[in-house]
Amino acid sequence: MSTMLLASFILSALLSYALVPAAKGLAKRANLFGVDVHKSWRPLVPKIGGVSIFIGVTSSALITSFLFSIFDNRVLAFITSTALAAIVGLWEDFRELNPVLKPALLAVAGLPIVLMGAYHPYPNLPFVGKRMLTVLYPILVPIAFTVVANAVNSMDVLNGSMAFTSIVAASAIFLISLIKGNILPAYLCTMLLGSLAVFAYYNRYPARLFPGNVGSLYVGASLISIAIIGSMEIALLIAILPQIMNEFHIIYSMRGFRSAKNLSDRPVFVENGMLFANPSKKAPLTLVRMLTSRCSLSEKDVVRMLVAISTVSATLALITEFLFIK
Amino acid sequence: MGSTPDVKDKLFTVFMITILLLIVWAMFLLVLYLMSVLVIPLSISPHEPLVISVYRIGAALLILAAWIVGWHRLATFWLHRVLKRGGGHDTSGRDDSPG
Repeated sequence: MSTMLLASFILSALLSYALVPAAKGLAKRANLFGVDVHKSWRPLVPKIGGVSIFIGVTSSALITSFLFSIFDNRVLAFITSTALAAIVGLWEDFRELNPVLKPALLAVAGLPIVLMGAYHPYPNLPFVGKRMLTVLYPILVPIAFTVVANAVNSMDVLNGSMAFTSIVAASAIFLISLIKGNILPAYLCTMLLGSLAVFAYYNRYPARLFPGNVGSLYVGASLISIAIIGSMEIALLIAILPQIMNEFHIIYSMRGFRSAKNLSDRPVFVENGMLFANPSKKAPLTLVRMLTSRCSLSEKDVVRMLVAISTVSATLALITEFLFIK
Repeated sequence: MGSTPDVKDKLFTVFMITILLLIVWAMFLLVLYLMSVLVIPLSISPHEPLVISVYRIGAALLILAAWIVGWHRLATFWLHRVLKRGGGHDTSGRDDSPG
């Protein structure tokens, strides 16, 4: 088992590393750049770096699942669902999607998991144990896809913030799978972790590559797919509580699904490379705004704090899984 | 502009958000417990009336919505108290951030 996990981690990392120049080249050809607004010199950064994560993990999953003879409907469902989410992300990177259409399309990305039967409709709930949700569970899968993919997407605001917080969440899910002897989700996690580790190197401060919607939606879809396949839904939701809080704070503050570009009051301002919270009551509530409310902080400091909060959340996920779930 | 950050300020902020996270986590466990006891039964009869199924889904959504509104209000209250104490920032000469 350890050979398979190690091989899939290394292969996924190597493929993503090899694909980074191609992702940069594609961004240049398609003129897909994002302005890094937190730097005083406002550099233009290629913004579809997430393509390297998407193709890296997918190729690695295809190669290693055949190599180690573990290819089945669950692996196929993982590849298909996450690929659909990546396509939705890529579409948004090229042309901004309607804020209501995007969650609907992400729900569609969850359908292969349902159609290929890659789920167990008996979630293990804290304190009470397994519950039968044969009718409700298939309805909840697409909703969970939308919530989790958007939550991870909402964390992609600073250099490395999405990549590092997702590494923490994926590590928690990996540890739970490993301790429970659940090989398939652990194997899928290692590939995601390998790719994310390489990508985080390029996305860390000062970023040379942005994940784009393709990257953040793909990572979110991968996390929820792994959790559903491995019956770790509750643990994942707790591991990504900071992302979920951030997402719902934004939706609630903006009174529904609206494009952040149309906001009159930004949550955070930047001056001389320091971030500080907008004091206006009309500004949307975000985690970064909460972190910068007491004093102005550098981008690096905010990302470190987000990782610290994600680590607390990942620990709570482990506590819940092993102490409260029968 | 905001005050210069020191280690104490950073640790205090992380500590406060961790407390908020712990509250949200405890509320989530409570919500799951309430849902599994009040909404989701151990076994559903194959001949369950449609009204009961609609009630289950509606009640589950209501409990989840109450959970979200609860911690959003708590976070908003905390943020506005901190911003009020800090006296606000001078926002002249600043750039917008997506954060």
